[in-house]
Amino acid sequence: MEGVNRIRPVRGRTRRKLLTENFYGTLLACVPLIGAFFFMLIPLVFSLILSFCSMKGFNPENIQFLGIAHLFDNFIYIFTDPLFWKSVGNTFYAALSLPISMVVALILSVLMNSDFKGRTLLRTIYFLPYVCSVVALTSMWRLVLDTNYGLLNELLGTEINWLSNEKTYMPVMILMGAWTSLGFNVILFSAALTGVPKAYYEAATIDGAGWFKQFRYITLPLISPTTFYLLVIGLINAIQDFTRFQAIGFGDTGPNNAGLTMVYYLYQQGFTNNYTYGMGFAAATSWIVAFLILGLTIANFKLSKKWVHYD
Amino acid sequence: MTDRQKVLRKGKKIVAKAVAYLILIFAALVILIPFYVILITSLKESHALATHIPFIWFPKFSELSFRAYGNLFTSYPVIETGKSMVLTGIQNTFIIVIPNTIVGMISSSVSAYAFAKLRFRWKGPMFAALLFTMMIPGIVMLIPSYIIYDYFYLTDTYFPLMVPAMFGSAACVFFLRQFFAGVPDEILDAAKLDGVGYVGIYWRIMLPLSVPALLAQAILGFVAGYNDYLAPLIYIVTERKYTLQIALQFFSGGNLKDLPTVMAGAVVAIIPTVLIYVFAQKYFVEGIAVTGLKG
Repeated sequence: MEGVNRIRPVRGRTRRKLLTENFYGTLLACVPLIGAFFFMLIPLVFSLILSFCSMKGFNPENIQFLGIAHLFDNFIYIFTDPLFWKSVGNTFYAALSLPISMVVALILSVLMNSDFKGRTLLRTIYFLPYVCSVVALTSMWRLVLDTNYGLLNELLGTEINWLSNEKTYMPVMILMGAWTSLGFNVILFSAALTGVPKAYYEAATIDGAGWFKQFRYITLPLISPTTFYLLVIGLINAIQDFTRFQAIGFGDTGPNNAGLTMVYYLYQQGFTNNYTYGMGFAAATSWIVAFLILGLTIANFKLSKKWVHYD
Repeated sequence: MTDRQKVLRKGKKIVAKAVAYLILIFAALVILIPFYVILITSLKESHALATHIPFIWFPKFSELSFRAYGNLFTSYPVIETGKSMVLTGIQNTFIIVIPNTIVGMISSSVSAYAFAKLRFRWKGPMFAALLFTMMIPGIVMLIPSYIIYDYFYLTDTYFPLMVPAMFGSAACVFFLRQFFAGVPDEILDAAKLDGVGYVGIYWRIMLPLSVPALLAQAILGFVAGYNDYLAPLIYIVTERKYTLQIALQFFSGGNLKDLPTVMAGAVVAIIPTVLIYVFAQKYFVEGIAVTGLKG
């Protein structure tokens, strides 16, 4: 496309036309980029500077550069803060909802795949939690988990205060997470399964392969790009999981900080315990989270070469 | 194969199918029952002693009432204005989300049109830059954005909730670009010969031809905006400016005792998005499969 200009100089009307096209193209295309410049790039640079500064309160006049000798003090403080390591542990613990949700979603999608009547209705139902707000979902689950009149205790015949016990807090939050994201995984797995050619299964049946072998050697490899996509997206979201923990306890971090995830930790540094920590610490923590996400995503892509099959 | 074997095989198939049905229906019930529970709880009589409502699977029809909903819309006023906090929240949410969705869609779609159909100098690098913005985790911008808005006295205004969204989103541009690329060039060339300009082509050809794609993205944008919790939680302080989600969270934090009303709030928060989803499911699923991430 651009080559046209170089090979043969264009003059007159055609040239004018290309110039207008160039003008309109740049003008129209750059609208989201202008937004990204002001609302992403500037905050990004500011955040990077801030993570090497100390800042208590919200007034930028209080920003103080830590100095060359103490350049990494924020990071050193965070990495030696036991609460930070607790939040890392909590985040990965909570991320268990991802494999659970994916495995259950895959099973349901496989069961639905064989010309199943009512699959549209079922998919609609499975997806319902995904469109609900975090406020509504946490209200719902607070009720389901309630000690005296909650559904879960009613079914189990127990009287456990799930959200006030350090041991039970995270398991029920994992359950809630898997319950919420199930539908999204079902929809993408179903789409991938419909893409597997029926002829492969027919050939395998003739060769005498049972359903497990078919699943293992046909289905799993052929849907592996979708599995990979769900894993990457799911992990990126899991590392940033925070709002449902904040909302379910109305700003409480759970029994003995059992619900304090990494992002919740940085939110607390910045907004709740600003005068102990401050914005510099919060910014530094956000970069740690960002690099963790980057590292895990790269590792995911590297590992994917071993098990993801693209045609 | 003997008849006996044939019958056995058929029987096995039926059993397998029945088991599949059972598992799928069980999973559907696991999803639906919590919704059912908040619905029946919201229809229970709401009063001061509401803490001790025992769990009942099927309450009698005569015991159901809409009083909790009445309570929700009347009993919790914003102190400054005296108007219902939930109604104010609904109004504020629409004031924010509707312009956001419309203007954001226009920004995203003009950009997508340029990337799909026009030739310009920095097209490659600009598109790469746009894709790059999708990879930055939003959490890094949280702290610096707050400080910047606060410095310009923009906290407790709708500016942080509206203006950034109005520039469109990279994911939306990406999605629409794919769609626009499918519009045949012949149509555009014919329009050019008729003297239609670039803006005219966008407005009179691209937009009408891509209504389904635009709807898919608009619906996703609307639902994400309606459900947004973190941004209004951080930026909005004054009660009369609360969005619906923040208003509901605020009063359910203060009125945990009155369960039916709190659950009526949850039902109100859910109904619009669920209705949109059920009726526009096709668009919804299309959009979600490409953009993936929830707002």
